Amino acid sequence: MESIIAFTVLVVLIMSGLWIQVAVGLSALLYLFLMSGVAGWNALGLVSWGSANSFTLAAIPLFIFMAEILLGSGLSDRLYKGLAPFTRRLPGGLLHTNIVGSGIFAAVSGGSAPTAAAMSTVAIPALGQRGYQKRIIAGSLAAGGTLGILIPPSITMIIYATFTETSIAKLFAAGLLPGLLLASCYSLFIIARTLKNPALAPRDTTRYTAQDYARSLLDILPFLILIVCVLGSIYGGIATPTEAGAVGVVGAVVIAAIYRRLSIAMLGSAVARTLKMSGNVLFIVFISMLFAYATTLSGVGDQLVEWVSQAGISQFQLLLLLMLAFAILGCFMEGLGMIAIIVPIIFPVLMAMGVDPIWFGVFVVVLIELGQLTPPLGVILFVVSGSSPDMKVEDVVMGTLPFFLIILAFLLMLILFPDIVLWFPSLIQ
Amino acid sequence: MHHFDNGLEQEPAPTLFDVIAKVIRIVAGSLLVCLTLLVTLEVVSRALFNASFHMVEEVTGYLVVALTLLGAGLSLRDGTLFRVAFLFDKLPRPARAGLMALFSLLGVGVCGVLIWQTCRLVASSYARGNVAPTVLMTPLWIPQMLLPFGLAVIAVFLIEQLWRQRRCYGRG
Repeated sequence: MESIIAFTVLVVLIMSGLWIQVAVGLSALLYLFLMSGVAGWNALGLVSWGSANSFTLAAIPLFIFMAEILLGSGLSDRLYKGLAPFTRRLPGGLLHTNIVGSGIFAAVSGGSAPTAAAMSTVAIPALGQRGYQKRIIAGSLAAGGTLGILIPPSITMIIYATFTETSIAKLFAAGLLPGLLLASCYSLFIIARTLKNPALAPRDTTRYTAQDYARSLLDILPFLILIVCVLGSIYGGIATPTEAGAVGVVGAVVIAAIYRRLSIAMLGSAVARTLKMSGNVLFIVFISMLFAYATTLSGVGDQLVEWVSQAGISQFQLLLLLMLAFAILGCFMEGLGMIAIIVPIIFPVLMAMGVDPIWFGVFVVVLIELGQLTPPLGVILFVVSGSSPDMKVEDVVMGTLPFFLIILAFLLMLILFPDIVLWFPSLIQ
Repeated sequence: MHHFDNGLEQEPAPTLFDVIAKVIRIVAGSLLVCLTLLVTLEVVSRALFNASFHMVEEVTGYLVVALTLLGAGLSLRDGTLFRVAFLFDKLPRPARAGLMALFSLLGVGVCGVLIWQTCRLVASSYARGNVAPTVLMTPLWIPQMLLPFGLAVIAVFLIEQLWRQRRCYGRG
């Protein structure tokens, strides 16, 4: 009963527009109070200390910091210019730049909104000028943005790992192949769509010399080296994600210096943005830990295990149910909060049903991606439409729809072929 | 993530809160740079000299506590703390202003309970003489003070919001 009240209050508070963290905190306090009165709050000091004092979570501000410095050193522009000569010959031309560029940006940034924002600011004006159809520009950018949390490093995965005590390195390995596959699906769709209707993406007839190609390659090479170093050190077991994040920050500073963009002002604004963004994310994690403490005390997870086993639900049915639940919740809950609140509750059920925790981590991340593309809360939709004054949200929604269906099909593929996720992490000790 | 609109016109900010925010920004920014350097140094020293500082993990944890709460405070003040505002934005201005005041009060309440509980933790660590199980053997009450302090910073910025709204009403 307490659980139902606490969850209802949580949903109502979030919907009313209260800051998510305060809503979760208030519901957690109420939850504990309903179970054991004011005495229920007695362990909160210790729980707070245990949740906030974490070496692992330090990876979050570090990865955000790295991406912010790279953005300040002109990453978006260089990615776009560096990729354009290589993608323009494909049917769909520069639309592929959006996908590949997002994929590369995803590999230096931990989030989807920053990924979509980074590509949108450059691509919308450039592609619009060349006469590409608005909807398909928007769709490719929003879809590309979703790669941000799937291709490592991923803040969403770090948070999932924190709540489920799974290995971040393995999760980062698990996301790589699905990320590349999903990006390929996006590109294949663009090719098919533009072959059918070439007017969507006018052919680029500029002639490029070998020198132009070399210069383009130089534009993206430093980023590729940084990605290989950061991810390679995690996969190779040389560095923890936190350590890789710190080295990534230093690498980003070096890249900024190479491009002569390093200045106190640039670093200062990167620090300021990092503080706000990471404070926001870390505070959700911190407060959700208090909520998770309450749910553990209430035993709702075990009740759920019992209910599922009594109902005789199969693993496949359970996963479909979860897809549905996340789709509904995604309408009024933001992705990180959803992981931090829901995962601790359903995790015992998943374990009881023999679902692999690493596989489920990737599955949940893709589910969250779907939520980021669905109105009314779809963060990415607003980021893309907010990047240009003449990009309407309606255009973004319509343009994103086919990509949404691709992700949905991709989820089913993950259920049918779990090895897509599990093959690469199995190579890492 | 929505930029926040409390349903009132923007006011020139009161100086005291501005000063607090500036100090917090400088402190938190320095901590972020320290975090980066500390972890990098550890990686370098381990890779080159096969030597570890043995305290980086512990200190990093403390820095994360500070960055969590101070960063959240700055984000709150900047209006970028996560909220779901699509229904809220449809409300008429006075309702939004009223709700915002209520939200700030609720926030202060949550911070209050947590400050109370984390102060109890600090007091108990102090009384029992608890130290970190590390080479530094840090008396735990010292880093634990970051919790009530950081929560108090968030509460201060929530009170600032209330104060600004009251001023707006005062002017009619």
